[in-house]
Amino acid sequence: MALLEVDSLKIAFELTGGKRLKAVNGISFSLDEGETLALVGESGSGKTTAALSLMRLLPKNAVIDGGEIRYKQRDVLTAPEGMIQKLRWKEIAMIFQGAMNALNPVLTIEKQMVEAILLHETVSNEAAYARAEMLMRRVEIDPKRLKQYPHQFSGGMRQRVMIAMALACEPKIVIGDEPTTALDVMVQAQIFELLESLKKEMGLSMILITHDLSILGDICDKVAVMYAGEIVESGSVEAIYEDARHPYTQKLLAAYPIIGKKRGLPDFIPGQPLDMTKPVQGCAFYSRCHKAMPICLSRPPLRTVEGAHQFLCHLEGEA
Amino acid sequence: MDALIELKNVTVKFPVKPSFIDVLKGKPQRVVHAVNGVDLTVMPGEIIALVGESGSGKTTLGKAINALHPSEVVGGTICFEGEPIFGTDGKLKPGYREKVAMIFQDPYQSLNPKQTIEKIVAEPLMIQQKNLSRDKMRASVVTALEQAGLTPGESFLNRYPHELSGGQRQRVVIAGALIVKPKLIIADEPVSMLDVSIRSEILKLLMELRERQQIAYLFITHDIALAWAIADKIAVMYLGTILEYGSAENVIQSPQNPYTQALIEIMPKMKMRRSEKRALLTGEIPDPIDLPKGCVFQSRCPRAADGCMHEKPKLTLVGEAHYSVCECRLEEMRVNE
Ligand SMILES: Nc1ncnc2c1ncn2[C@@H]1O[C@H](COP(=O)(O)OP(=O)(O)O)[C@@H](O)[C@H]1O
Ligand SMILES: Nc1ncnc2c1ncn2[C@@H]1O[C@H](COP(=O)(O)OP(=O)(O)O)[C@@H](O)[C@H]1O
Ligand code: SF4
Ligand SMILES: [Mg+2]
Ligand SMILES: [Mg+2]
Repeated sequence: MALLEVDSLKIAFELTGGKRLKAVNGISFSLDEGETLALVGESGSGKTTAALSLMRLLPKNAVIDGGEIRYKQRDVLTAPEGMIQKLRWKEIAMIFQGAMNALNPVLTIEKQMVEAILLHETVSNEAAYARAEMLMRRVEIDPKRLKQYPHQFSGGMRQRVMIAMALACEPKIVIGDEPTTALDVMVQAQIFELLESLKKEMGLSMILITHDLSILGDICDKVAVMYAGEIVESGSVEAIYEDARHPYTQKLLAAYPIIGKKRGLPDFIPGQPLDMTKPVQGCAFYSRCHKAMPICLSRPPLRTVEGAHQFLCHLEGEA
Repeated sequence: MDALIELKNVTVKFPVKPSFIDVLKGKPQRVVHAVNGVDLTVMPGEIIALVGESGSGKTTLGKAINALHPSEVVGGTICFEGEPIFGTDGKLKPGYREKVAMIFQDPYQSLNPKQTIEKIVAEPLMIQQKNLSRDKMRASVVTALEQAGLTPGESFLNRYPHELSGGQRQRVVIAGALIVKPKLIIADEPVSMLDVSIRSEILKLLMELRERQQIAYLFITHDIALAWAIADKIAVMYLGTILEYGSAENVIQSPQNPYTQALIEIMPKMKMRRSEKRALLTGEIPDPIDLPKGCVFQSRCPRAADGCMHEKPKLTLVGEAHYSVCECRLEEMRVNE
């Protein structure tokens, strides 16, 4: 049985003036124990919104328009607040996008970690301090550095602190929202290595949000590619690397230069992401698609390639 | 062909503000050695990528070329078309500011939200040509906007940064660089903060500008795969020192320096390799306050030997127009396909 299941989830934002922005439009995926799923796509595709809903941390103007989220077979969207308190941080935790740059500059790292621990759990102060030290060791930082301030930490170190905080209550699932986007490639590789060993050590499952498909092979098992609030292709990392079928996935794969592959300017996706306050007719990717056909103005079917490899497109799917 | 820019033994040393206690104890003034004796030549129309981890001194070197540091912290010589950029009186030669422009990393921070696009783009020109008429100024702004792909240029003049998309904002930054008609643009991580779709468009624009206007680039990036994709030459920098330098093909296909090898090794390869054990460097670039004796990379080098701790290796020829400071002469590394 899957640890986490998301089924036809729809989320909209109420905007001023009575408008609605449909951020997530019927996505489905599942996560097994020990598995790592990547949610991939350009900014605005609905990745963060989908992730926040898993912990019921959506902003106030968000409305669930349909679908279900089940954690260990228990319904998350309708669960009473008391149950959510037990789920949030203790079962599912998140490293928020950009949070490493939002540490309070006038408080020591220790103070901020202890506060976070005390907020989520009823433990003594001493126990919280001891936990902070243990967590620092876990992310391979000398606990002596707890007494330092955020500005004394490099970007990589601050992200390690954010990982430590996410691990504070021993969760089963950790969601990383673009955890390495602002870091250089060496630090990114170090952070991935750390996450990989934490996953083994603690039996974690992970959801990694990113717009860079080239990193998936280093850390993920499977992928869901999002565009305009929909999952347009999903499958194992191998399937996506070797046999991507959706034109959007193919473009994303070509957008980053890879050493040893073709030299020269990377490919690009023309145009802008959709305005999601407007209704979508047919395929959401139509206006930017290099393979669009007249039939694409009607809803594309979800096609299955093999096993769990699926894509949402009118193309028959010869790669 | 004559060099556009030639750096000889360029250093940048920032004095560290001493603490009160240090002053009382009479401790000597400490110095951040951000750039340590860099030699580098950029030919007209050439793209040189300056690659290294954060903290390696890339931005500091870029700013030195753009004469943005106080003159007392910069050492060595920087020549533009054969002439030192500073006169014997220590003043920047007139006209240099029109030859070299710099684009910074973050299009959100580098634009003043309270100014119109016209004002932002005109600013570098206003500083240099104070007597330019309003009409001529406006015409130059429109041309620069259009060269940067914002057409029709007039339609952007009275808009504000927040009204534009991320890609458009980065184009405004580029227009601000183009307006002085530079021969060299120092592009400091121009795409690393941008989303996938915008990123390639901006790269395409920069490459087109080189074709059309013969602009040379010092392209600063931590992404050695991107450097390989677009640059003619690659200079790998670590702790303020160039460790390897050569054509992009040579540096990537037969990297001689262990640091270059490590940078190539960790780049995502778009294939499954979770089970592969990779040679990952541990830790980060050391603090450039006290430079080590010997090789600057010794503390993290997987091949460091006794000799590396004592003598500072020099850039030596290791292949055709290919230089490396490391003398290990590593066997050719096969690049995975
Ligand atoms: N609180 C909010 N109110 C209104 N719109 C929002 C809010 N949060 C996100 N959005 C919009 O929802 C869409 C999806 O956003 P997000 O989930 O952050 O995407 P991603 O993480 O993929 O970049 C975007 O169009 C974004 O502007
Ligand atoms: N104005 C400054 N004063 C003191 N140290 C500085 C200053 N600017 C940069 N540095 C230091 O110089 C080194 C190189 O920095 P930088 O040029 O920004 O590297 P990069 O651009 O490669 O990340 C770093 O150790 C940095 O902390
Ligand atoms: S359905 Fe048509 S427009 Fe949409 S991705 Fe497929 S080919 Fe392109
Ligand atoms: Mg997001
Ligand atoms: Mg920099």
